Amino acid sequence: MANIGVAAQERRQNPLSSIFDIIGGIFKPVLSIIVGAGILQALRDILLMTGAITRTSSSYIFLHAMGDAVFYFLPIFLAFSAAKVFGASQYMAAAIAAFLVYPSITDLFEWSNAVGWDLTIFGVIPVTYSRYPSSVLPIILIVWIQSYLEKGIQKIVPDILKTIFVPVLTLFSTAFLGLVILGPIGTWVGDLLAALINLLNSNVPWLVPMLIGALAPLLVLTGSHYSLFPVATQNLATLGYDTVMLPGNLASNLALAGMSFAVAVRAKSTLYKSYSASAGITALFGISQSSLYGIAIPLKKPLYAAMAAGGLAGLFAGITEIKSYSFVTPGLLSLVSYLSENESIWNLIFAVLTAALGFVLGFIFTWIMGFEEPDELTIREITGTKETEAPADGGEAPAVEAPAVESSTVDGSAVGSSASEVPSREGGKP
Amino acid sequence: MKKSFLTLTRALTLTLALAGTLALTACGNEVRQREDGSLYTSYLPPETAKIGEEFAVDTQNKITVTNLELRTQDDGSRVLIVLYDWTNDGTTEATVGESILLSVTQEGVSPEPDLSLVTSRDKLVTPVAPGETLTDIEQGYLVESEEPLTLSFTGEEETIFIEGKPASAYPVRIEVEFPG
Repeated sequence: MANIGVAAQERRQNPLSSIFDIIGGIFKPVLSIIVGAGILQALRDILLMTGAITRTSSSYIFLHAMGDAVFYFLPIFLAFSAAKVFGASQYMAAAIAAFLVYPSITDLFEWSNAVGWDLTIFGVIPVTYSRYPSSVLPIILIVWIQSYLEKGIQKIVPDILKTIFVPVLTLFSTAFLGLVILGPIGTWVGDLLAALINLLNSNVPWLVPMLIGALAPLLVLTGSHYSLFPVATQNLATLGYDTVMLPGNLASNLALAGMSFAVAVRAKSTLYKSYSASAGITALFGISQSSLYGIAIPLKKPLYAAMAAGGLAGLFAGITEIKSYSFVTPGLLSLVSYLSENESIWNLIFAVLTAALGFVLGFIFTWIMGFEEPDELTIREITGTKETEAPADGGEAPAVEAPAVESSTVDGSAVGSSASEVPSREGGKP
Repeated sequence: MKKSFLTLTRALTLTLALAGTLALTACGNEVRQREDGSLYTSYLPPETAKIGEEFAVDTQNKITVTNLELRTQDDGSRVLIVLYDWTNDGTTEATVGESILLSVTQEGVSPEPDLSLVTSRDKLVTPVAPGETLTDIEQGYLVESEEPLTLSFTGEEETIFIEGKPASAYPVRIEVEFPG
């Protein structure tokens, strides 16, 4: 089991690097479905743009849901995966994540935010507005806390009561802490960020696309990018165009695409080449999760390269003051949103140059900085091809992955193994 | 043998994916018809309304905006209060909060919602039986300028049908001057 004890052994001096290692480990099993969903989303956008389907048609709704379901329910997949990394119960973690993205909970948060209603639990404890669907960091923090709570509760509750009380107490206490303290972290960070962006946009507007171009990968990671949506929608409503979020994200997504293609060209593994090329294609269309979680974060150096490229392309977008006239996923298809009868053709040309600059610099920086290619097992995990396949020449099948040790259940038993065989979080110590 | 099998599997998978996409695309612009073959048009709410006029935002919610008031907080900031009546025209018990959404804009900017000076907050979550009307519901918004206001009411239905073709539902808008 890739538990936190193992992660600790591999921990490097740089804490940021350690965090990226853990996040990379959590994302590995989820990446193959992210790639599939990302391609479907790109296909949806192409069909929509060519007029083959309309936004209100049932075909659009089905196709949109096929692609979006993975991203919307991402916290559930991440919870399951994070529980394995942190040595917590996987189904308990998934249950907590399912609670957070439960439709009526989401609706309640959105409604309270729209009317200004202060949510509480039991009329006393305040609950801050949060948007959990598609979020990343809150659920990782929650499952991390769950791994400790679960262990503590198991110690406290007598054996005879464990079957009932351990799951109840773990579910309630983790969900409660998540809702009140851990979940809103992304909202608090995002609110601060939105205020800062608004301040900078009033004083040094050319700087803002650069910051967003550089920091977008980290904003997506923490879920703080949602706080920038109101900034963009407000700009579109008041000015008719946005110069903040959409140009900055265009630079960032194209930089991630360039980075992915550089990795695709330089990687030795055929599987990773193929994965990186797919991730690059979806990033070209503005769906950058595969690039971010499958390449940038696990390999780190490409992340820094993409951030630098996105920042420089964003700076160009800021200096040339490109304006996006509609809210389209920032990618190649969004370039049409830079065409307007109120604007000269130079707006579109500068937008194209921003995209090209992000892509080319992302490619060059990644090429120059290089990267350490993941080992074959990791690549197979990332690409979702970890099943053992007999080689074509009829030789012996390669050992692909050691069987994963089942994670412990909340009552201390383990599926398929006795309680004494259950490895603890500290890497097997009883 | 194994290699050719894998190639075949890949080809089949790609073909199926392509076929699925084409099938989806082919039925992309479907038209909804009634049983008698005529093209279906759903309820179409009015695009605009006036204060004091009752309108149905969809088939389940009727609204009458009765008044706009300006109240002042202790720190001097002003809160615009929108007063309205709501009739539950649906078939089950519901609350106004879950049935309609009111948003206010001033020159395209949405003022921050604020319920601190609302006197009947609980009305937003009071269950109302089908056919009954809840009166004097209040919602508040922090306003900083005296520009004209747009009140937008959205119901629960996200899609409407015009001559069989689906379209996104639109809000009913009320354009008003800033209360004096």
